[in-house]
Amino acid sequence: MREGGRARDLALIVPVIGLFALMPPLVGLFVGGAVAGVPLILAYLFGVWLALIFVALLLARRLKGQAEARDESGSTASS
Amino acid sequence: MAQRVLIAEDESNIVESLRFVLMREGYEVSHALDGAEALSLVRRETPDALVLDLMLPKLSGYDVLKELRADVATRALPILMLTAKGQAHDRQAAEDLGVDAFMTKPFANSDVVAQIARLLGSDA
Amino acid sequence: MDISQLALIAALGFAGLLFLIAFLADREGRPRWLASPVVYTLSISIYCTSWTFYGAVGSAARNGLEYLTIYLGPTLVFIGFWALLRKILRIAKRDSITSIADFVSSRYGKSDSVAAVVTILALLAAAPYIALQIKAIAASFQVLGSAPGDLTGAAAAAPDPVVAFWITAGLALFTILFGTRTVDINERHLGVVAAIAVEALVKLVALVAVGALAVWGVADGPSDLFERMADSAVPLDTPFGMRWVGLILLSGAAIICLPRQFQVTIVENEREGHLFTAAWLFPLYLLVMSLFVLPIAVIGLDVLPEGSNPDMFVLTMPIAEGRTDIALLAFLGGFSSGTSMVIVSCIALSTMISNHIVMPLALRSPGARLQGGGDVRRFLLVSRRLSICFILLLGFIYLRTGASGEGLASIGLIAFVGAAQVLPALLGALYWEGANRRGALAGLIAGGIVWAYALFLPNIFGGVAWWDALAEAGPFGQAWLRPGALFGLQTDDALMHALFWSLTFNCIGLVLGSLSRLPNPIERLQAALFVGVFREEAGAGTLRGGAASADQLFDLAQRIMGADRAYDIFRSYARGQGAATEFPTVDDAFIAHLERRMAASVGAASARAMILSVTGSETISLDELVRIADETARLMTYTSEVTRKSDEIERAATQLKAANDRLRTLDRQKDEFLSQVSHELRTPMTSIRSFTEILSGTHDLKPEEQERFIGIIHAESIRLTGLLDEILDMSVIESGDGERALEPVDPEAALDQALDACLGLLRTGDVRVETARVDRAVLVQGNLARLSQVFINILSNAVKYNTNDAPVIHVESQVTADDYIVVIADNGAGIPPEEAQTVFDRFSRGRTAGTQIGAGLGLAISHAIVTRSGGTLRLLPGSGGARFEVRLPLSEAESLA
Repeated sequence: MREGGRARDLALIVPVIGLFALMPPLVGLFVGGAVAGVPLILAYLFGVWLALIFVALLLARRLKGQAEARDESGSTASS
Repeated sequence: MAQRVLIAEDESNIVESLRFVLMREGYEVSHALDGAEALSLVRRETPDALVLDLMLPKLSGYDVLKELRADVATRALPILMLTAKGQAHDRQAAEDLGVDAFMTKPFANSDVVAQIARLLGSDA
Repeated sequence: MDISQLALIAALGFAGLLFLIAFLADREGRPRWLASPVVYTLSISIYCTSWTFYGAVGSAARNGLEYLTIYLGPTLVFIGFWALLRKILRIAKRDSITSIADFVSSRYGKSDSVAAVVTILALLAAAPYIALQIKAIAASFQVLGSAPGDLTGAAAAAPDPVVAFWITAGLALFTILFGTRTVDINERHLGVVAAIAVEALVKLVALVAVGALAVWGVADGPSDLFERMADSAVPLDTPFGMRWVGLILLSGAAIICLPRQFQVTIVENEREGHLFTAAWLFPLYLLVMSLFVLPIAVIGLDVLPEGSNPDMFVLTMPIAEGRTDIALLAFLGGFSSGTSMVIVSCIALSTMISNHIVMPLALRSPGARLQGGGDVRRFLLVSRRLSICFILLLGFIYLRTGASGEGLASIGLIAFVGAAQVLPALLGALYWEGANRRGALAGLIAGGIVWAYALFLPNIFGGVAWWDALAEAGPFGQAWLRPGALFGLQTDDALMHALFWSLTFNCIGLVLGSLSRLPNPIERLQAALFVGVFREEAGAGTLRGGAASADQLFDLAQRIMGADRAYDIFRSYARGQGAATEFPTVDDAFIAHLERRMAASVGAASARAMILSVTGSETISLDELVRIADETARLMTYTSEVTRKSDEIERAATQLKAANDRLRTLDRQKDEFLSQVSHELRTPMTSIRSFTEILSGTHDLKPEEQERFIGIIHAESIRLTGLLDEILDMSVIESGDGERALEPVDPEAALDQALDACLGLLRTGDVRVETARVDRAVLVQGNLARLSQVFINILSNAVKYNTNDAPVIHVESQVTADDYIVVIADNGAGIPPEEAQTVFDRFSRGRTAGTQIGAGLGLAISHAIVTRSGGTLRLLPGSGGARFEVRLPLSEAESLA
């Protein structure tokens, strides 16, 4: 349950972190410049985006596992 | 001729004491033991004054008083009313009906004598 | 063959393919892959419409990275699915929600008006959005038709009305055939979902193909692309300011609030678990779609003639590169984007219109005759088909009146702001229990009006003289009411301006409206059910699944109806079941029975919700439920307490009045008593005083006179003493203090003593006494002296008040099984009926009585004595003389003998 509690907390915090990362003034820091030929702002935005997707994937896997375990222990009346 | 006083009182001991006191003052005394008797005696004997107890059997003192005051012949009869009930409203009711004097039991013999004397206008 | 003819054939063929897929998916025993989370995720991607497919490139070419906001907002919402989407999904599945209007109105007390307002708002917002799709599809046809001669995409600026109309008509037919073949109970459309999933794949593949052509066909790989990008007109230094923030939030709101997104994400959802996949897969889809937008924009700007419409780059760029095949694929991708959006939008909106506007009106109109299920079904189908035509017509009208010359993206954003007006009410529904119907309506209407005034109407009427005049000077010359600068907020960005003011007024309306009155019970219940949907998982004290036990049901029932009534219901039902226990076996019949009984207390809807949640079919925590129940119970207790209190007050007032009457009587009696005691005491005192004065003031008294007067004084003194004794007796006997204990005594002996004592009195009055005595010794509980006092009193009364000339007293005693009875009767006038009631009261001596001895306490004392001995003393009814009966219970010793 402790592990699950942490996953749930993360699930609530990750979108907030994402929002923070994509908001000014933070995004403004990455305007101009390039990394390996790629404009820095593009690399940053798509990088954050990909990272968020990856974290979401991990969290969804974990939380889904828990939800299914709970469903099996309880009833499957409605879902 | 001696003046005559009628005592209307149901307590025989009180009648006796009043009779003794008034007779010694020179009045001629008769008595009635209830209201009805008092009324008929007044009409028959026409006393000069009436000592009337309020709580009389058969006909109360008030009733006797009303009868007498309604009758022309007895309208002016001097009446001394006695009562063992000391309340003010009793006295008021009696005075409204036209008593000439009102005394509360127990009384002083001398007061009774003085009131009768006043009512009869004598200076005994 | 002309490429546009080819495109037409391809479009028709593609439509046929979609029908086939939908048909297969709707069949019984549909393929398993349809139920997969991937299909679910692909269906959600109807978010990417023509706006994305064509418009995003246009947006990128004009405004650089701004187009990303439209995909970052939904990405954040889906990554944060755990907090918001999962909650909406859980509630919607539990309550069989059919649309976003249904969801919001259901939370606000199943309010018809909230549903209607959301529907109207959604409909208005949909018009520009659908216009956008028609415009894009029409433009894509025309652009293909004029290619390859003209690659500027100029046709897209003003699509041919005839083409646009036929496309609209075709879309209407297509949508009706697709979406309203059946009326599904829970408004799910499996065939449609399958078809739009395929379309989602087509548009992804198409866009990626065009993107790949740009990167590797035109440019020489990514590095070349980035070099070209640096040189191009695409602005990468987008200002990350208010507009960036606002658009991310706006698109985040849209992914939840757009009716079609609600339809695919929530209504069409098969399993909650699918959301766990969509949470990352949908953002990934958006990322891939976005990835190639910028390259296409850059290359498009490079290879196409100056002044070409960037909204059509996706089509014109491949043609310019000679790749007709990719252009055709892109056309199909655009076609897919447009049609899928229109189909699902129309399905969602037509459901809302028919459920929340047409049906309520039909049910309320007096002429409505909807009886049979089939009737309703046909009615619903017709109303939905007409709604679809109406929605598309609105879109077409919008296309013809406004929106000309605007980029695709900016039209879409107008719709977004309209749809976002539902967000405050939705979030209030999910997280604020205090939000209520009034607040929701106030917010929706206020936000809707501001949106329409500041964004929607300017877009329709912009360029029309009277509107421009109004926009310039403000209505009635009020400059602060100018639609473009409300309250003097000067900004170049009409979208942000409208977004800010509409949501501000919306939130103010929601908060103030909600705070202005307390939620009613159904709103409170729904609020608890919505906000607390996950409380069940909180752990302790919750019920999970399965049928409820009788204990649990009892716990619930007793909180609502009170323990006694709940117990009665359970026990009588158990008896009806023939159960030996107090609690019945829980079966459906019992649950239905209990629900009906509870409905009488809390209303049907609440009772149902409560029962369902205990029986495990719902997901509300027991704690939550108990809280609701307690609240209801408290309310009911309060009400019944008020009723009880007023009853009590009334009863107390009656009692007080009675007591007051009694006190008045007692007070009167006390006055009478005092008056009588005074009289009785004064009478002997008068004699004593008078004779004393005679004795002391008269010196010539004869000795016999002296002796006689002293004798009178003595007798009167004794009488006075006797009187005082009587009063003392009375108080002693009544209070019971200092009285000797009861003992077995012979009442006959007491009677004998009394007769002896009265001998003198009887002789004086010349009274004849007749006796009929009991012939054996008896014993009663009592006190000899007191009993004889009783008899003396009655006997002396019989003598004193007997007015008969030949007085006779009859004394008769007898014994029954339990009692010893003495009746003493006289042949006097008797006691008048009006005095019979009070004859035993203290000091209530007969008023008509003649000579009186004592203070009238005699009978009261006698009554007290007999009562204390456990007997009764009463005046027997009847005419003639007074007849007193003394009845005394025989003592234990006697009964044994």
